[in-house]
Amino acid sequence: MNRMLIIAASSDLSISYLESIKNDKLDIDVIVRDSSRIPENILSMIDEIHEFDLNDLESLNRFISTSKYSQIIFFQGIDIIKPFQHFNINDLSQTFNVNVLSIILLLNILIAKKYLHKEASIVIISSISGITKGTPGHVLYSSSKAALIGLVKSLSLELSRRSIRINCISPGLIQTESLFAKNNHILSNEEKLAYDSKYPLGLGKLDSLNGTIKFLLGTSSKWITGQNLIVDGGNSNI
Amino acid sequence: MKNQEKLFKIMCEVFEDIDTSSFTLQTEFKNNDEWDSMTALSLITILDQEFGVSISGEKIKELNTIEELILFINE
Repeated sequence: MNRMLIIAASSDLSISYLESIKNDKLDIDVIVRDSSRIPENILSMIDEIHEFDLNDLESLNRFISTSKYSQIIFFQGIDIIKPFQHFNINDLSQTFNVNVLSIILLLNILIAKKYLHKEASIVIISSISGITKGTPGHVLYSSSKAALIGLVKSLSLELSRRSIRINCISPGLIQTESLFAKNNHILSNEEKLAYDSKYPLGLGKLDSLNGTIKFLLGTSSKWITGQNLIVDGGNSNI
Repeated sequence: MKNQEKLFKIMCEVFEDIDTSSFTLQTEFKNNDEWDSMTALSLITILDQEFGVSISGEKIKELNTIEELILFINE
């Protein structure tokens, strides 16, 4: 009965969340581009793997499930870092396909095909970038993440008649593997230190969102819907 | 030298307000009013596009003249 669907399951945050619910009695399905990127110990927790490239929207129409879901998490997020004038149409479509349109389309499919249980809970990972902060070089990422807030607000009203809830989490900067890869390319050590000083509780760790995700997915938050929860180690208070 | 010409063209693209026509191999490309983190990001983006060269922010800090930049690209 308690079946979960995780989208972009090979992301660092998703792997961390999956590790944190290892001992929970849940059936877990995932949507992932390349399942070989999921570590072996996590792979063994998963019932059904659906391989899709979230940039290929047409392909998502082939998503078929044999069961209904009561918990859904969207972890996708790509960030192409360039000065605004260098963005090309490919950057635009890739960012919005993965970060926004794949979520809208999958929700559309899940709802239309009646894949959602009554009282299901949906969580989308947004970002403080574009919500509490602007970030130069990340304009496409910011605008795509901000779009999710509007999606959640209006869709929550359509889903409420079946007591289905949908909420966003807007995290601050989290030290993921991909952030390090990106920062080695672009940011200097001084800039990394400068980031640190902007987070009263320190930069986010891979497991920093797990409690909040679990809270929003579970019945403890049953009177919360259409909200955006800012989880940023105090960054927005500065 | 082809890379050299290309790089002068790139400088012209990176900077908007300062006159890059007087740039020489000895010009210190960061030593002007327009250089900031966004011009740096711009240079990183274009070098990647035009030369397929990944250059880090740290590396750019080490390089001063256009000649040094060319040597790095040719490496």
